[in-house]
Amino acid sequence: MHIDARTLPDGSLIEGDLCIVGAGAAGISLALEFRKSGYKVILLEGGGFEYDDRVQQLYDGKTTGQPYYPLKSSELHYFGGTTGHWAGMCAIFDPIVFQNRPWVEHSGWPITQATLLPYYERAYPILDLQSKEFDLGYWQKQDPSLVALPFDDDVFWTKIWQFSAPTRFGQKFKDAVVTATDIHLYTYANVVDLSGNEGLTAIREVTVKNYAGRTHKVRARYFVLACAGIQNARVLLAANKQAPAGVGNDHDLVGRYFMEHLEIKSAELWLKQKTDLKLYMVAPPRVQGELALRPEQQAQHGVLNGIVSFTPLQVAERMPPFIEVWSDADPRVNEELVRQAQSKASGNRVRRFFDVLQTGEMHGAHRSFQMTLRLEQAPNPNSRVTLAQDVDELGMPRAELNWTFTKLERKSIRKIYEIVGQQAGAAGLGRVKLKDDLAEDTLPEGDLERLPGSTSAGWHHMGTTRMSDSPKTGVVDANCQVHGIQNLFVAGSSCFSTGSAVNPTFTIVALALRLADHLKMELASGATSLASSEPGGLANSTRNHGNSE
Amino acid sequence: MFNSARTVAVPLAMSRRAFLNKAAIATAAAAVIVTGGIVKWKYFSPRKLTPAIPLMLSGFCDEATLCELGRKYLAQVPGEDSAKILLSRLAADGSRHGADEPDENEGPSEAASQAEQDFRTKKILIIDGWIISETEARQCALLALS
Repeated sequence: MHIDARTLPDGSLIEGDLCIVGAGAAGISLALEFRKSGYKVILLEGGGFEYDDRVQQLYDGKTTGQPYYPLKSSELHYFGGTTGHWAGMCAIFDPIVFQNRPWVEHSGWPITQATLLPYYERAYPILDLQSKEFDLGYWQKQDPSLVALPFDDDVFWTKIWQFSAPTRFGQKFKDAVVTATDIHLYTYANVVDLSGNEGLTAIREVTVKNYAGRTHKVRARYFVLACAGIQNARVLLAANKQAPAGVGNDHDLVGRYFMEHLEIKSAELWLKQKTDLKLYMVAPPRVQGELALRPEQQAQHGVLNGIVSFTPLQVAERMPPFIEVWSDADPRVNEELVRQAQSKASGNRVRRFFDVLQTGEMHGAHRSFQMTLRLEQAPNPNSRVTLAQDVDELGMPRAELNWTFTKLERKSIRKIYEIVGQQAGAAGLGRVKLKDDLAEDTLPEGDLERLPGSTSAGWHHMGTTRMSDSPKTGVVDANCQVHGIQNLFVAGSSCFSTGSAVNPTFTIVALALRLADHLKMELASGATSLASSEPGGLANSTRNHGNSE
Repeated sequence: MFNSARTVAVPLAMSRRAFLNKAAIATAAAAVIVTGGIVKWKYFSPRKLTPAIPLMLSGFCDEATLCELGRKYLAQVPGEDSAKILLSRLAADGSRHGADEPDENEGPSEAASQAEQDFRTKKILIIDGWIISETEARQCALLALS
């Protein structure tokens, strides 16, 4: 069922069992799990079904620290969320990502990879992945020409990516959501505030607004924030009427530990003989391998999780870093800028980067390759989202991002490249050349927390409501429940305690499916009965809530 | 299903020979041109094959670059700034020879083998961004001095 919140009478009260804030990969995956569940799900989306620049403007904000993309254009604000422009790259978080690593401060999740594996399996059809296999051997049987670099097996292994279509959630799931009797989708319903009971141990209602000047209230037994990595933190921080520091922020953790996936193009691999490195390009069947450092090596060298991909140098040199091109506030303009820059750089021979990937245009033997290192960012409390002084058109404080690093990122980048160089030399294949200031043996102390200017990021916002068993070290617990607030949950990459080296969408969906299972149990048990704890709270009924429709 | 765990048996890497064979098949034009038995690399055509020529590296760097790498090595290791010392060290590292005196006429292939051995034993340096072996650094230094 779909309702445009702009058409509701001002001051409407919407009630249900579960209120999900945000209809992106997490929110839609979560909502669809409740089809035919018997529970009434309220799915709130700030935008409509198509891009609306006025709505997108609500995501605008300021950035400081390492140069970053304009915030307005780094998440999409309409039904389907940022899947509207994602590249479809899917890989599984390695077991080490979840572990407490002594050399990575603040690392460690309260869950393991094994916890998520069943949910990754359930995520495959949602993301239209062709296979459940992420094993190199499996893919080599399909295509024996997918040959791995002959590096020491104790040092590197091959991590496999699969590629979603990419699935555009807004297109694929619109009908499923709109026709579901249990799901009540409200578009143009931007959450601007959360209100809780006395003591703020439970959320009673959220306030939604839109440009039509309408303000509505939504009450539910459970609430899930699923409005992306920066916005989840922003909503919690802005809800500061009852808690001056914001909801769930008793320990000043909301918004901290902002992490991105770093993309560093600061080294070249020169080979003795030409080769196509086909395994490392996207090739039919549509998988791609990347060099991944063994966990034992990560521990031995004290480095972050990182993987290396290869692009023929003659192609790579024509592609400017995304951080330079993706410079406009309008994401549509940026997509065009990327297309133009790459077309121009290639003399129109190379099309859009992802077109190139999909068509395999980069294939062919080459002797030199750019090495792109995808690196997790070290959890860093100083890398954070806060509220700016200015407010958006709906009166909500804007987000401000201060993106910073520790010394571990630079150390990891140089060391991982160095290990590739050592392996290439030992195998008699070729040599590695570091570029930019990575080539410098020594840097001033102050520069050790700075990254090369060509460093780009994946538009992946993680960690701002990080998961931890303790409220002193995390915002949500292992079930994604905000510590201390019994009916408030968070979905999405903001819950990641560490970011891994690979793209987040696959894990976002897996976590959302796990949260759905948990919430079904909670709902079935009637664990949250706000009516009994809060005068004026909600009845613990799942039916007959008055609705404006 | 997932191969990140160390315990999962995965044929991660083919042998070097298999990889190179595949590379050779894929190669439309070899990086080196063999002319009359003399190897001419893309960037650097040595006048004379001596221990001062780092074979692999000379495929990627021109002579001036190799000399610059050598000068920077010498700046880092000033105790080796003579051809005699460098040749001695190269010979000592290449203990495979069993010779007491360095042989200036020895071809570079032995040094190339030693360079690979350096990489295996992690005797590597980063100079001007290039990740090279100690042997190669000394070869470059020798070239710079010559």
